[in-house]
Amino acid sequence: MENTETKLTKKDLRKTFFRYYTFCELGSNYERMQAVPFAASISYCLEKLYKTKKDRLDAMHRQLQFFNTEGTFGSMIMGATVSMEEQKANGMPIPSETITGLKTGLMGPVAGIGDTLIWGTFKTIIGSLAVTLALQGNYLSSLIEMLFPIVTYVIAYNLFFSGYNLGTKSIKDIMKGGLLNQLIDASSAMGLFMMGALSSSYVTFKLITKIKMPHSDPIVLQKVLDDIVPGLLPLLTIFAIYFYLKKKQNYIAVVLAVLVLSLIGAYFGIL
Amino acid sequence: MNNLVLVATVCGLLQFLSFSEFGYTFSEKITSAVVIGTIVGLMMGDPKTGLLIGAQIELLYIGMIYPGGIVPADGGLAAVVAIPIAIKTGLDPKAAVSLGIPFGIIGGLLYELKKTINIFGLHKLEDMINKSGDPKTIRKYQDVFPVLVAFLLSFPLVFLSVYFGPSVVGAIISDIPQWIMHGMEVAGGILPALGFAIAVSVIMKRKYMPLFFAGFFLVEYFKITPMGASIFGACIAVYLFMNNKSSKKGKKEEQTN
Repeated sequence: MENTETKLTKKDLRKTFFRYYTFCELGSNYERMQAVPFAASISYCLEKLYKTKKDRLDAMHRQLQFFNTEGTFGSMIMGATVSMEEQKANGMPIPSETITGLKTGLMGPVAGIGDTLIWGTFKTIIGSLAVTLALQGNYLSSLIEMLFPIVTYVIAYNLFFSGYNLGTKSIKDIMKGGLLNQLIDASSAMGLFMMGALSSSYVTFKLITKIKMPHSDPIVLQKVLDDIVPGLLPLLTIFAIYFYLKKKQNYIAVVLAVLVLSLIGAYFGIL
Repeated sequence: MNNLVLVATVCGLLQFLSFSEFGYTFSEKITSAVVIGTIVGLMMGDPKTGLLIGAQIELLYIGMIYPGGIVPADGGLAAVVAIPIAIKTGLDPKAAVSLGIPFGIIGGLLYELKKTINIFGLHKLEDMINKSGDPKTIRKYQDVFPVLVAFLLSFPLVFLSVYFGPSVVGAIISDIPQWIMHGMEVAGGILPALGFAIAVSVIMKRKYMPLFFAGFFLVEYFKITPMGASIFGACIAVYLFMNNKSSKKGKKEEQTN
């Protein structure tokens, strides 16, 4: 019997990963988010795996469905999807819906992990170290900034290959498993602690208005506030924005509101 | 004069790289204000000032993250436009921050525009693959249309702003009322709150919220640097990590007994 099995080579996988991580937002749009970059990356594999026009079209349309996640941890989904396509092309009875289902099922939880670990915690810590150094006039700050892309690239590369090698079942096991949850749990704790520390360092919101008193020194409002709780205004602002965003995710409105309020405050000499 | 053309070109290209989100996490840092401050400062012969202005601008966007790919404000565009103009006109770093704020807002809107225009491209792409039936088509499309969109929405704006900015800003800076400049500075102080609010809502673990307040008041009362705070934060994280592990092991041992 003729051996018709088509295997992907390490080179195909590397090309797929490289395009995915380099261009994982290039062509993303509000209708299907990262569908185009995802399909463009996996196209190297589809081209090799499927020979007939019908199979290729099916595969391309399948990979052009809605997809949106965090890129670094999303590499794991990319790896797993590649391995499923390879199995399907080699005769495993995997329906299209299973592949789409895997992608859409994983993208939410994976984005949650990636946004917390990579962006919320790691990026913010790197940024604050770099800024601290830069404020002292230290040029090493730019190198510190570059640690962020370098480290995340290495993480993504490894996640892509473990996604490919372990397959879908193991990914679900890892996601439910203890170690990753412990890691997320611990870094959420560190993340929240750091957010508190950094917002105290970097959010400045002070009243400069004074209330004139007829027979004594004027009352400095900010000093009164500081005597109650220092940092009250920054804290209230953060949580006001937090609760607004929970209701309505209109970020531009927040930026504009801050700008307008600051200008009004400055005009009347309050802020 | 020629130097300004060079600076405007480099800034435009860096913003193009960042705006097309080249290299994913790399795109975030290539236009981070600290890096841009150093690069532009070196080109304009004043890296020290560049770095300091960059640091001031980056303070604003430090907690800013992009859940679901939404960009609330683009710190990169703010840096790429405000830093060269500030160095050229000898603007005070605080004023440079104010100058950057409107560009940060515009930058956020440009990301929305880009993702809207790319919808049309997607439909075009689907027609194209139905015709060709070749997976290569998707890559060919990706290498052209979204790249072009990203370029047109980034390079011209930055190039023109950096090239003409200094003379425009130089001319009007003295006419801008003091309260507007001050108002922008105030906004620059408050705006990081948006970044931190987003980061908190993404990380959100109710049981660890007390740690947010612990971090906040540790700095308020004891004035610890961010570097110091991250050491405390890492200790807490390691403690929790090890403790969770041992408690799970403990449970397992109990079950087997």
